[in-house]
Amino acid sequence: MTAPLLELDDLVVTFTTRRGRIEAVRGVSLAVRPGETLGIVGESGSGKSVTMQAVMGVVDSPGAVEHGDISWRGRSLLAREGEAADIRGRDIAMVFQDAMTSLDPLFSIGTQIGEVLARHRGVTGAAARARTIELLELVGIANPGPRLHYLPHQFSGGMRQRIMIAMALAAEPALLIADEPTTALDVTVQAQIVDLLIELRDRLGLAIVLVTHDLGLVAELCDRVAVMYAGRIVETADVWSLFDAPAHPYTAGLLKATPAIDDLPERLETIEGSPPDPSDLPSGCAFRLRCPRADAACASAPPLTHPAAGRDLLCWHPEPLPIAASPEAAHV
Amino acid sequence: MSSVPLLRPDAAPLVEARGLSVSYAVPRAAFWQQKPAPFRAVEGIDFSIGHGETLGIVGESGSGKSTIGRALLGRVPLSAGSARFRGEDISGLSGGAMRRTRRHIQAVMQDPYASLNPRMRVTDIIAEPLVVHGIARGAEARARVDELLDLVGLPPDAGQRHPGTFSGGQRQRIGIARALAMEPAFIVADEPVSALDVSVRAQIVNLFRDLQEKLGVSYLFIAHDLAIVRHVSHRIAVVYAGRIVEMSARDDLYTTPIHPYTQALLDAVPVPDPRKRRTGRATVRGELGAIPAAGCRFAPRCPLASEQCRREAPPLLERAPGHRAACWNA
Repeated sequence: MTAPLLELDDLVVTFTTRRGRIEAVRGVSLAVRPGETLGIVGESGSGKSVTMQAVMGVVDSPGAVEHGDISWRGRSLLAREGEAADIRGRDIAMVFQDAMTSLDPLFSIGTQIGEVLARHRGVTGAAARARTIELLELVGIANPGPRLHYLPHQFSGGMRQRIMIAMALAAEPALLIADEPTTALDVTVQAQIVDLLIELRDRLGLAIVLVTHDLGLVAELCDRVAVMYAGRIVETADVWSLFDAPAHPYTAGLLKATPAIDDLPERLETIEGSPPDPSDLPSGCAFRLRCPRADAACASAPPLTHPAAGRDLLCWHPEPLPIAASPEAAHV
Repeated sequence: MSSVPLLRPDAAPLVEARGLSVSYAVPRAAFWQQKPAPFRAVEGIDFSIGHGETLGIVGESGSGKSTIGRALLGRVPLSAGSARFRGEDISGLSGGAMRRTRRHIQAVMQDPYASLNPRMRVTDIIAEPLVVHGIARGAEARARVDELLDLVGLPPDAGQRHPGTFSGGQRQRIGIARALAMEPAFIVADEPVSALDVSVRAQIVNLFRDLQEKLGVSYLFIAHDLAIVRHVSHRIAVVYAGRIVEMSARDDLYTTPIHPYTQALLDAVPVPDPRKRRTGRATVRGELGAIPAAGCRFAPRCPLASEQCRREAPPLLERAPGHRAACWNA
């Protein structure tokens, strides 16, 4: 097994507000290996975005990493601030849901991509211009030369998303973090951006972390999935095993509650209640008040278990797993 | 497929749109320029909705799907055509007649937070339309609110709290209770579950269906999520750039789509099953952009577009019983 690119070890991110201390991320550990696509799934308030903001060092004030470590190729990003600033943006790049928040509306797209090239690759002048055109072609912007001086608002939403991806790729990162990259887009445009991400991954050997609430996107794009609930990863598995046999009742509930376009049950299955308020979490397993399998044991925190190869689980009473559910045996 | 009851085809429609069109004035870019032609948000929309029926409207942003809902709510003037409720033209109403009709037509919007006054107690929010329309006051109104809270699955003490203390799903239940206070026959629901978390979305979708079964209310259910629309609708209209391109009974649309845009939409939806990954690349390129001056509005993105498509807009014609599509080449 290759050494991981990115590793999170027991990461805790807290926000100190007037109402008190809120733990948005409560001990997250995960690893991303070269070329792999990891999906982080969760609902609002699950901590999925904050986790990745911590990786990029862009957690909004008053949030702060309170505990744990983030390392890149085995070296801590938190211990070496100067070095970390170089790694972030160069080796790890991030794209967001809304391209308009990461593109500066006052500067042309050529200038903005040029800045990344100068900062992280030392490429300037005619070489930078040529590389910018190459990058824009790579992400599917037709005839980019004359459009280098365009401002972001002169492009459509899908085009801006492509430009943001080009800008992220300018520094030739090994890992691309995409936080809900298609949520603001229409479904036909979303399909085009998904195609682009798949193509880039295959051509450039990129590792991708896809942060999303959309299980459809996860099924389509990811190799491995981490399911987050109330600041913790409650289940991790390869995408095939997870969709075949979810072990955590929350994962199982999410899958059942997601209507598929080609499947019409009499009624949609639901998960009772709502995602909890991060400032007022139940003790023990945070899902227990909504969980059909919960009992008294769940009032204390469940331990991390490994019920099958490649699967991590935080649950006292998981759904029964099929015996010998090895993904290779079943699907390859 | 028996879960959504079929309708009596002979019953007179509750809501009827005929040639419904809405244009918005476009401001001049500068004072010396000519006034640009109005933007045709929707054009020539024909449909009817029966008693206890749900018509789903599917389309992407900018397709005009919300404008159709606003027109039926009487919130935007029609530039042509008509919108009728129980045979009465809504767009021609004013004053008292409008108020009397409007109480039977209610709206549920996407963002339940934006549409609930944060300073009012939930009881007062739900009772407000009752008081305004002079239907109930005081103890009577409170009793009705309790009934409504129960109907939408909120606890009885919810009435004493403020909207800010509720989760997104519960706020949408409050919005639905307020819409139901007037005992409407018809509800326009504009993306009512898009802002909700996955685990909560299913609860609200089921609530819409339960309420229809109990109360016989009709819905115009506007959404961009094709899976959700399939779960709530009897019939579905696909809207592109202000026109209906295809309309059929619910399942026909998914099993035998005719219009290339409908096919592209269905192909583009990722299925939550890694075994059903899309094969091949997206068939439709580009995005909804400027509307072409003539011909089919989808032609600039259509893989089947021919010379005729760029010249002449295709009419919405019946291709199979109850299944209409507007395409020259499909």
